[in-house]
Amino acid sequence: MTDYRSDDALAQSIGEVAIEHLAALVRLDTTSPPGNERQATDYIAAVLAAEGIESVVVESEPTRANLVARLKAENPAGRPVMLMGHTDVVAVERDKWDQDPFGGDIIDDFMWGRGTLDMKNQVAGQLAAFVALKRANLPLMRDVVYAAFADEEVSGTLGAGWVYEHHRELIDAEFALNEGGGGQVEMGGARFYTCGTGEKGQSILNVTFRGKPGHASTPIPDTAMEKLGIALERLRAWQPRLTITEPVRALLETIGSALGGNDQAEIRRVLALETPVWDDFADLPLSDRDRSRLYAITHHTAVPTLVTAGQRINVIPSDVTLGIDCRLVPGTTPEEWRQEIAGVLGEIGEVELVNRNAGVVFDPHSPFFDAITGTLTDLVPDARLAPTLIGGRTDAAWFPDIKVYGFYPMLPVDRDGAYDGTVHGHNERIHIDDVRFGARFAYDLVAGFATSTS
Amino acid sequence: MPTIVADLALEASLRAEAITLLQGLLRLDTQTPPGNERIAAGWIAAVLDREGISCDIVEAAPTRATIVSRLRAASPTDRPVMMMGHTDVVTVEPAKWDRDPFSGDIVDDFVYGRGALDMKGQVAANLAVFLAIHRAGLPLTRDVIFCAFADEEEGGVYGAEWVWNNHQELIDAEFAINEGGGEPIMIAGTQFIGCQVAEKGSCRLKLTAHGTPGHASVPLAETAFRNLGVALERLHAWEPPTVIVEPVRAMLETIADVLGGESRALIAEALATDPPSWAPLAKLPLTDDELRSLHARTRNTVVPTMIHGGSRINVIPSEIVVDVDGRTLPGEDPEAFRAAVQAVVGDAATIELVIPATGTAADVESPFYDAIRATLARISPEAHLMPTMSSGGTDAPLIPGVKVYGFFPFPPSDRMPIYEPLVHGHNERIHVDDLAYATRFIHDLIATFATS
Repeated sequence: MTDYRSDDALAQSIGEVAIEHLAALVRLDTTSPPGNERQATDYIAAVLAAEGIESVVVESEPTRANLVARLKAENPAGRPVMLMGHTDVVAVERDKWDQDPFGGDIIDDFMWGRGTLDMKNQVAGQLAAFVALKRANLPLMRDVVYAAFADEEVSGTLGAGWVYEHHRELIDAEFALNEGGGGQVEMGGARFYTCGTGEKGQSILNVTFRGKPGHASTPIPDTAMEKLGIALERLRAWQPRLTITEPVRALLETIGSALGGNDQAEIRRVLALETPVWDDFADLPLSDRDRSRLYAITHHTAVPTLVTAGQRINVIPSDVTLGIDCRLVPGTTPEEWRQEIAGVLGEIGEVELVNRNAGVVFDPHSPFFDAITGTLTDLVPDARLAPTLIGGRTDAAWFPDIKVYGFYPMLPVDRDGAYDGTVHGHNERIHIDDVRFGARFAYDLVAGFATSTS
Repeated sequence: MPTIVADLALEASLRAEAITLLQGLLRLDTQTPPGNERIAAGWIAAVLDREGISCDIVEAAPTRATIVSRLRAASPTDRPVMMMGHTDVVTVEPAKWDRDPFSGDIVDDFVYGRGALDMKGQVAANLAVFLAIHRAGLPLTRDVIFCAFADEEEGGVYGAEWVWNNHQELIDAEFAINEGGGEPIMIAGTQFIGCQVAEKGSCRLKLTAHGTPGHASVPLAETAFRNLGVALERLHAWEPPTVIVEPVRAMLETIADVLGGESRALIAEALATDPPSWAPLAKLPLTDDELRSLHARTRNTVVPTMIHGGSRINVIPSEIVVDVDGRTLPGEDPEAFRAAVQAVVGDAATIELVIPATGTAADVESPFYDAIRATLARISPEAHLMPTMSSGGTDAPLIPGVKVYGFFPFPPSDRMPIYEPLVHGHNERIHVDDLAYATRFIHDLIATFATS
């Protein structure tokens, strides 16, 4: 079988192109809302056009542009594989940043900017890989689709969801590479890469607290604002139950068998428990960061993020609304969850479900998963790959009949916490070696997988 | 000898004129923001001009007009007395009204419109009185000033505060009658009527809860929302210390004198200790609302009223800002107040002063207060005048050189419960008999006081 993987020269050229694309994309302000992703699709379409690649841009609403392009196999033996991503980014609190969040400046080998991790890096790297695949003119056995969606950060109803509903023929893939995985977990001194093979669902709850209104000059009891305080305290004190899903079980088993010894025994012991609780995980050799991630994918969560109350300084508001971002482990319905939170809060608020996305699980046993494993271990020989459940919500949830794997790896290098808390936070940035590495991985994966007949 | 105390004919003419003026003012949309009080000032100026009275209109910012006019004493022996008010009104939700809020329509003897109670009614009454005194050519011993400020509802920066700092000579009164008092209060079957001699300061605070930001899919321990919950709980659990300032002491002593018996004993018990004790006051024969109101007048208070936290559902914000309505007693140092609130919330949030303010108090022992009492004794002999301190919110603290008394008296009637939700609420309206009563009262008070 011919080896179509990149050599160092090709990898270097793909990497430099990826860095260039990333800087260009970061400089386009696609903060959503309003998104205005057309700026990004214009850029990508121009890059593709220069290579003689046609792209299709479809807009769900003016400026909410989605781009899809395709390298066709002459005599396809399998259904397409897709490199997918989104071009919108979340808002920034500009004054909290040390560098321009839309500057794309490289300082000490880190490129700064909103989207450098979530996920213009992958959009740029996949674009560089896609163009390189075109230039390489490989004997494709299946089409390769490149997709950049709008509106992932708000909901996807104007992006992936809309494209799936109105232009499904554009994205008729069997497999897709997406964001959401590629992170590394340190456990017992060993490093594991995780590949998202499922994700939690996102349900948004709106809680309305009502109380007596009045003039703020005279305090009164039982106000909506007082109920808000009580509710936040109850949420904080509450301990949601632990749920282990198949991807998490597979993750822990993979880690256990790699570590062996006492660690494996401990993992087996915990997995064998009939009703494990979080304290049972206390002895697993995890860093704080990985522990909080493991917590997130084994628990339904309810995180308050939005609150609105009051119109005038001197009026005690009659109602306060609290938005709670809930992430549900697959298996629990949003309505069940609504009732549970209503129980936690007691009688003090009315809990309403405003968004109901159930979680999804994709089968990790597939040739594409195997190709991901093979490509990774070619590049990082001692790497181990473990499936996992992704704590966040991505566009994967829109595509029930595509096996979407969240995997875009970085180098096995400790960046001293430079990435921690920066996704959706302040000072988001990426080491340019990680930009290069991701792009090379995407190229090698698709070059191998799309040319194979198996 | 000109008529000083209104006779039946003057009473009828004051009544008719006040109603007409009020309807005219209500038809001018002076909702603030933006205010646009220039339309009211211009309208009043035209009314004055028809009578040959000149006026000054000053604007702190374009359209934010305050109008001042003066009837001069030929040989003044005392400093001026002022009838003050404001022409701006709070916003309306027209869909919730049964009548056009800017129509001034009269339905079943109620004049409808935003500002009927707060406070175009009193502005109309003041203006009718001002015109009547002018026409009567009374032998004034002090100037009489009519003043209608802009921007009371949003804090007075473009109104009373600006005029005081920039055109003090226009409003250099010794005494003023203002909005804020005049409501009948029934305590244990005895009729009182409040005269607002003091008010608390509206001391606006900003509470900021900080925390680790992040993606909402991964719960964090130390978030702004966690700290917000803690801070709100601490604020609501706080019982600020009881402090009895002079005007409140005078109010309690008036109640004790009139009611006697157990009420006198409870008040004496409360005042006997230092610091004063709330527990005996809680046993006074008052309704829940009245007790809460007394509670608020015997301490500084904090009430969080506005929060707009977070920007996106899936982002844990790094900070949440809460606007807190603080009310400070006369004499309270705003910075000390801030520090006290900071100590209450502790490490859960930081507290900043946004608008530092302290309360204000006029003297209960003054010839003007005596004149109010005497006028009330003549017109409504069954009512006892009681000094009160409001919990804040008028222009009075903004003109610190003037002794301001809040008094727009209502005769006891079954209409009082109707009025309660109307100020800043829907279907604001005033009964023509109540407008007429207050107009006559203000006429007799000012005509007497300015000629004595």
